Amino acid sequence: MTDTGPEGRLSERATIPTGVALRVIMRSGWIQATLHEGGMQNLGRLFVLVPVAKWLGLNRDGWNAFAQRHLSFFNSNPFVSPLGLGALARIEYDARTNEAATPDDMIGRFSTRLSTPLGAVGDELFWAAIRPQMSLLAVLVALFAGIWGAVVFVVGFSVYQYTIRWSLFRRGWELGTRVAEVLRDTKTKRLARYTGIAAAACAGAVFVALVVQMQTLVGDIVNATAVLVLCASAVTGFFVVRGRKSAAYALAVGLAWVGVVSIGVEVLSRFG
Amino acid sequence: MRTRVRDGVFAAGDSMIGVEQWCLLVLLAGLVAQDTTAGPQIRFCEPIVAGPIAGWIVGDVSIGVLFGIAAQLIWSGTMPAGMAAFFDANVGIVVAVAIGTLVGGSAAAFLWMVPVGYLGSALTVVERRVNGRIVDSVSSDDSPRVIGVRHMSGWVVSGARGALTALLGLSIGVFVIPSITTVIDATVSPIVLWAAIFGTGGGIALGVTWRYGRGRAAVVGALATAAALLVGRYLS
Repeated sequence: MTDTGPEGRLSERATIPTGVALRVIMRSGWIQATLHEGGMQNLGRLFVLVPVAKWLGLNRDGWNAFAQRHLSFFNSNPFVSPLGLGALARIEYDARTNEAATPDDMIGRFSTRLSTPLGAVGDELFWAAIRPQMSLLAVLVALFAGIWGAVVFVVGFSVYQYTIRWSLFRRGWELGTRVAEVLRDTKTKRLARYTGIAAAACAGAVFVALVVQMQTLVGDIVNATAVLVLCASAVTGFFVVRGRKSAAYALAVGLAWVGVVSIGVEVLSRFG
Repeated sequence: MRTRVRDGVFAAGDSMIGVEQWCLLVLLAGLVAQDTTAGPQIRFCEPIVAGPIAGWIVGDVSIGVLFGIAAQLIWSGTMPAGMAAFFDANVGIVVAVAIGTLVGGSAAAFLWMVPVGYLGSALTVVERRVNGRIVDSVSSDDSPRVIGVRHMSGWVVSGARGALTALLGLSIGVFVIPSITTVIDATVSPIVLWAAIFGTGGGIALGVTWRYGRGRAAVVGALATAAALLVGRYLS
């Protein structure tokens, strides 16, 4: 991306300086610092877009109007927020050349309309697919190589998130108000699906690795009570989560099996 | 002062975690709470990363790795998304690992992360109310610098929330968990407790990812790992 300056917007290919884009992407990591009920990430969005305002060279009144526009409601998944931020940066850039084409309340309406799909697509991609995949891959590595699991998680997740943040910001900038096209296309859904399948494969691998490595981790599990508890808690953990109950609840049910199985084994040994 | 553990039994009466370690743990908990939602979201807050760091601070990385693996599995499907009050497993793991080194990595110390996680969750609600007041104090007449300072004060509040959660969790846990551990160890085999924890974690991992491939991918992953382990054992 080359800097043609705000006046270059009349040219066919509008560009944003790489430095400005990078500053926005880095700041987007802090978009939720003042997350709150009501405006959600509104102050965060304004904070992230400050480099754009500076690049546009706004005067005092221009900045006040800019701040007013971007203090309206905004919410998104933090990892895909650069898509909306790129689009907003583009709208601001275009408004500097043709003020009549960008009414003052447009940013507010655009942000509100974009918030729900940005949150939904981002949650589906990051919280439901990428995080479980990296978690389970890291656990798999940690079971055999200890601390390296942590390194795999941080490096792997960073590669995912910064690649996606960068490419989404660029797409948002290119499309501007037509940014919903990205949310509608199948690429993001396909990425979520393939990542999810990889996560599921890792889950199967982790289960086998757990059974094999339990002895190294906590001691010999080759006794009837431990094996029964392991199987019963795995089955209930699976169904509790599938039933949309919390993980803490699943853990409580798993621990209840310790009591049930221990008492059962004791009774059997007395009467057997 | 260093941790003194005798065969996994807490030696009462000693100060087990040094002052500098307390400070580092509280600081780590603050940074972990910030990274969870407020920023920079590098995700070093995840239990598999924060656990070993906490373990390194208190002098036992292996307990950090063990607790980190278990917590990462159990909370692999947790989403700190939107305004939902999420369970704070990340600050919980820092406290659990620190307490865990006092009791020889007992499962009771691991389970201490559950009440600590709920405490973190409750304090998150307070944190967001404070954030609301910070945002209310901002006006469009403020300069970019003022906007930046106000916004980053929310980040500081988030760190304070994590530090307070850890401080409370550590202070209570240091007194409560060693006694509970003694009772639990006398009643239930630690291996059976860990079997329940890891079994639950394995089941949750399968449940969270089940919608992708309806179990076929998990079976392929399991078979591939079993085959790789068998080949590895045969070759060695």
